Amino acid sequence: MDWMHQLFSYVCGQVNVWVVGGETLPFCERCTGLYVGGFYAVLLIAVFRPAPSLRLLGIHLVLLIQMVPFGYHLVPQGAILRTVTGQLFAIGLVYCLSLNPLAKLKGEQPSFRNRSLPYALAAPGGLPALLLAIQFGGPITARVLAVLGLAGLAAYLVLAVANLITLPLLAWQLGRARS
Amino acid sequence: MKRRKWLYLLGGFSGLVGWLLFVLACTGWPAWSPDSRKVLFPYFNPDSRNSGIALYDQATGTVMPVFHELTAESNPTIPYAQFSQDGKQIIVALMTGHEDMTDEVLLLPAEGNKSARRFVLPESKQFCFPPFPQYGNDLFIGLSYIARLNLKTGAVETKELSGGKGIHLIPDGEHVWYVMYDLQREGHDEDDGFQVGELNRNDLSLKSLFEVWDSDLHSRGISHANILGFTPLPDGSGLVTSARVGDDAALVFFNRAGQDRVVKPQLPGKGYRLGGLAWSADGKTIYTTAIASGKKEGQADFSVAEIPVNGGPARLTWIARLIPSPPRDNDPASFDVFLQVSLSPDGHTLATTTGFLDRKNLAKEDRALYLIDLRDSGRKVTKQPIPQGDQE
Repeated sequence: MDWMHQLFSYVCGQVNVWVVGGETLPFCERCTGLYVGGFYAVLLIAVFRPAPSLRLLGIHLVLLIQMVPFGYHLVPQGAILRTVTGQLFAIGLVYCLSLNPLAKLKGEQPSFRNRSLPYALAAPGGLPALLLAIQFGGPITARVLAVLGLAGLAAYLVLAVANLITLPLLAWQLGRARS
Repeated sequence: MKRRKWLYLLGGFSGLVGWLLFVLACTGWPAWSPDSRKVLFPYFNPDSRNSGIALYDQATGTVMPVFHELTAESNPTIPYAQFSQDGKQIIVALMTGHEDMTDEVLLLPAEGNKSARRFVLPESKQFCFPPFPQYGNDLFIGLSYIARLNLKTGAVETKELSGGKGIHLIPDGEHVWYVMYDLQREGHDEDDGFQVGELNRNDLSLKSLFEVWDSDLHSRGISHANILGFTPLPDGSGLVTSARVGDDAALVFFNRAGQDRVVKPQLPGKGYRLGGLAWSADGKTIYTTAIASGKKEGQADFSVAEIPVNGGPARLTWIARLIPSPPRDNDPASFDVFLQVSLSPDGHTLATTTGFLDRKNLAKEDRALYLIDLRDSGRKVTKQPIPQGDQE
């Protein structure tokens, strides 16, 4: 997994890392939550398509903001808490980044299925699943987690690029409508 | 529809900024977290050319560097560290081994963001290894001189050696043993020797107990004694170090009058070289690092040996495959003496590390801290790799 360590060194300090089945994961404990959890969050969005609403956006913004005290070490924390906060951040991040690209894919009329409740129920399920995999997994689990993390990173990159392209256009449209 | 577009804009913008800040925080900003049970170990990362001290936190199972610096790829400066007596600070010794570079001791907080202290020592070509004797605020360092650092006031006192090129100080309860090496005496021009004695902590004077010369050792069949490996006996009556008798590994015991006895451990083969020593909690077993030739030419097997002092076969726990360097200065043990073993205060866990070894001496993935669970009959070994980056 050397090349993965090299790749993730561009986006992760790789200091506090999980060792799963004797294998070191290529990202730190917090980024394990972010990138592996990111892949799971993309699946959730794809399956449930939660309806875009101010309330749901607010909840996901809270999931982003909780990273401030944890990410900047304002509160004491151990390895598990680092991973959990990374994963909560991932849920918020994927929701925020996928709003606009999904709307563009489906046209102006939202075709989001209103399945916010099952989405809300399924989202926390990834937390214990990831921690159990880390705690009891062997070398194969380590490789699977690394690949899922890679998929999560790829998903973030695609979503980030999509937003970078579409957001300026959206801002321009809203500005013009206002004027 | 317009309201929804505002939601998209706010969500997308928050996501992009959030991820950017997350990546910046993870790769670029320093972090400290409170710890409980910890192990310090030196490491050298040839890829990033960083050498430093890492802290393994047993409570969380994670490794993080507490100090690191950019260093030369060849002959890097490897820092050594220990906890202060009260466990609240980390003492890091930076010994360059170069006459034109100063040596330094850093005092870092073990917890929280507190200020660090830096002590500059006179130049020296010698190295020193922990444990460094510490009594109250006084820390003693042995190099080509003896230094006493007051960790509270920052005062540094030094005393030059007479008759030897370097000195090792070995704490043993309330008193400090010393081994002064490379003795210079008339009539011993072709002979190397070392002197063993006690340090007076008040005036830094030395009280010699006995001297040992290579010719004395050779006449008793001992081909090499490990100067860096001296460890006090559990009852404080003397010292023991690792040695070689012909091609066999040996332990040489010294009492206050000189050489006492030689013990040849029952190892599973010939050619073993022993490194640093540590006593078991009951004083019946000596733990040490052991290197033997590997199955392939140019390879060696690094193990930790448990040697019953009163006889019986030694138990080996395999650690890693090494590629030994050619001997330096005709010293056949120039590689293995740097491999140390340390017993946890509760007597349950042995620690050893390959984290500081050079790129050519072992595979990248084997550069790690190794913990051996002595309560496990199978001697489970846990490997904690050295920090891959410099900050979280």
